[in-house]
Amino acid sequence: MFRDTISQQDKELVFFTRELINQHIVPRALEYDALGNEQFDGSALDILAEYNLLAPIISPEYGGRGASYLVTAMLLEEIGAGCAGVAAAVAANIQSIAPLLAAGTPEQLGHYLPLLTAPQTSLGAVAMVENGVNLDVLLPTEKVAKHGSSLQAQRSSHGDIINGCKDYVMNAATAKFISTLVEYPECRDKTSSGFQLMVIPLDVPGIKKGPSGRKLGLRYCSTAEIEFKAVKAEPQFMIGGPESGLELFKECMDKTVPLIGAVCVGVARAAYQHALEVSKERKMAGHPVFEESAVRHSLVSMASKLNAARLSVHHACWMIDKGMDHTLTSPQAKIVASQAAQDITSRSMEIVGSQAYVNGNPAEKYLRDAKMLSIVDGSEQFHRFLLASQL
Amino acid sequence: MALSMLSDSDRQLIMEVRELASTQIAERGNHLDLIGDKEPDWVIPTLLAERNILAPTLPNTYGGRGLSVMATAAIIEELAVGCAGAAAIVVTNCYALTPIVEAGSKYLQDQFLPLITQKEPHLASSVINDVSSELEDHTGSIPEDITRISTTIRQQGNQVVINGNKDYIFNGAMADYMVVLARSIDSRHKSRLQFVVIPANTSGIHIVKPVQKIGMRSAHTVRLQYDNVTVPENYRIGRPGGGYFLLLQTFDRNLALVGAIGVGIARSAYELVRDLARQKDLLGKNTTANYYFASALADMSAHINAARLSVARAAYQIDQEGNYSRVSAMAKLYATQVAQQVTSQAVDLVGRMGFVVGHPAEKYLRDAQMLSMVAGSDYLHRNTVADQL
Repeated sequence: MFRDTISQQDKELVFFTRELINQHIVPRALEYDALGNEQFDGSALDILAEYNLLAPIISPEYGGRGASYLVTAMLLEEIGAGCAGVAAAVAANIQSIAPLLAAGTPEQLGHYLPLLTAPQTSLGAVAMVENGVNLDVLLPTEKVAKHGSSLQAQRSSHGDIINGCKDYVMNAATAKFISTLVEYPECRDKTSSGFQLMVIPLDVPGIKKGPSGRKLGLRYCSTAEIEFKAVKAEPQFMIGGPESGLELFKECMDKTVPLIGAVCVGVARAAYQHALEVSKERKMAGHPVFEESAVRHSLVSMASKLNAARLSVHHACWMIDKGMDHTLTSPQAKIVASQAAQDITSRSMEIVGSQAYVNGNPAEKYLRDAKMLSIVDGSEQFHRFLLASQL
Repeated sequence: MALSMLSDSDRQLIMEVRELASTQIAERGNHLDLIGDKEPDWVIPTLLAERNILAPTLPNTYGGRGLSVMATAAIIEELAVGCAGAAAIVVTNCYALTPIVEAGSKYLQDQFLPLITQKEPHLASSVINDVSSELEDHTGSIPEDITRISTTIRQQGNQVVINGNKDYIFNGAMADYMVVLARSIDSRHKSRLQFVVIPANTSGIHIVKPVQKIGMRSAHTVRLQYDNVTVPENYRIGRPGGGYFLLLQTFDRNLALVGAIGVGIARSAYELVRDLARQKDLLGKNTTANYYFASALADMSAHINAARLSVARAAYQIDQEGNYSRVSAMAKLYATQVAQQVTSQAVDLVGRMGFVVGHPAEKYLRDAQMLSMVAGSDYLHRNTVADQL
């Protein structure tokens, strides 16, 4: 239904991406997963960079493909079906530029966007989550007062100085810049939460990357802690007006969260297809297990959920593209897609059977990736909360 | 998405139906639900006939509205929000008319289709389910047996004679004519199935008893007996023996509508709980008790949206004459499941009052439960989808 709304050229791009992923990424997906971000192998991203797929949403003005959110979701599904870790790196890339697309100055756009559309890989990192504290920034103001952000800026006569630490920074290892939420404690009052979104090049003095953490899922996507020690906040770092950060952050999240949903759909699709193939090959008492009604019915449930999840994601993206109110549909898409991904990947494990529990089987990778996807970019619980406050 | 693809007049009609469903239809539906479904009731069909939505897809040539399946699904959803039984009456009509529209002769179409679009209520009935065996009154047939038909059709000169027992027939006692699935007397194969139109005033049709259901009680349901019912030969629909494919196509073209009933029931249960939560100010505040309500409502809304999109996609594929067989069944399965989950959760959230007879929450629960057995059980559809995976 939504597929019919995109142009022929975009459809071809989606199919081309599927071919590309099947050819280059699928055969090495398990290897990427095994290497993890401890021994990061950039080749997967290099292939995507070569075909300008690291941030397809950027407009042609800055060298991008100018894909709509709907097309981007389709592309991310294809990449996610190959390797969710690679797709997560692309999604984090898009997240890192989302604040710029929403409120960046022409200089910022001209400086950062072409980096991501160049044929050499360069990534943007995104750091919204706090070290220790969670996404409590979005809770009512009395809560913020208690927690706040761990990345704080102090106004001084020499300009603003940022101190603090951000944890779980996606794409941290190789990123050229970071988009982050910085708190000005002295500016927090009844009318303002005191947050400012910033885009900061990672080569400025005072920024230190911590070691990459070992994650259970999305292992290809490098994740690390980034420490800020007396980093001078230049005026060109600021995105949007002072203290508009929280609103802008929410706006960006509403736009990028369906894309994480698209990665969920990709993983779920891969897990479903794997289970379907195995069920037709694996024999029990001389018959393929596919002939068992329990297995058949499980596969039908998986297919129906996958269909519904994909439609939710496409719907949310379509709403964004049309400029309609998407604050409801975006968290809905994330909830449905990440639940579907977890259910489908765990059913896939069951159908594949004992082999699925052996390290290096695709099914177990899908399971780990799906679980991780339900947590990144706001956990399901968080989005439920966000959604409920609008019902 | 679905709404924005419809024309303005369709959207206006949907809003009218929403208004009608939430007032007169809901009121009558709740009343019928309480008194039970022993007697047929014409109030809801009359309301629907006045607006010519007893069979919204019928083409203009037969006096119908000629709506797309997508618009019809939206109308069914609105009706189901008011009363699932009202939606079931319309969907039964659609099931009955599909074989005539798809494969009936010009004569049958001219004779039977315009009846349904008149100002006075006229219903059609789709008669598929057999009584499994006279002896096992309470066991019923096992679900996949829907195509194992024991009702027979026999040629006699230029007439056909139908014998057999049919159970669980929606609109059975109220319909002007029935579209009956029977098999040739000389074979039990699926390839010998045949649909035939039987006007309700033909002699030999006995209404054995009303089936007293616990859900969708405003849709009157009966058990029928055909005792040497004789109709002209040209009342057969399609080629002799073409019934099985016609049955599958009837399912494929209408399952999305059954899914739409599920979306409607789920929506009404969700709206009930949401309004309750709004009254008690339980949304958007971060306390433990409120979190329970808030997260449940968020999940409900997300899944209802996904179910509606699944239904819309199936409807879209039917309208485009695309490959709709698999998506229709998936839409039905998903929407039914969502309806059952949401209504059950709604009873939980409303609390003990939701389990008292007459409370809307318990009606939604019972109505939603019916969806997995009407119009082919979930079991049957899971198998048909699995064959296409």
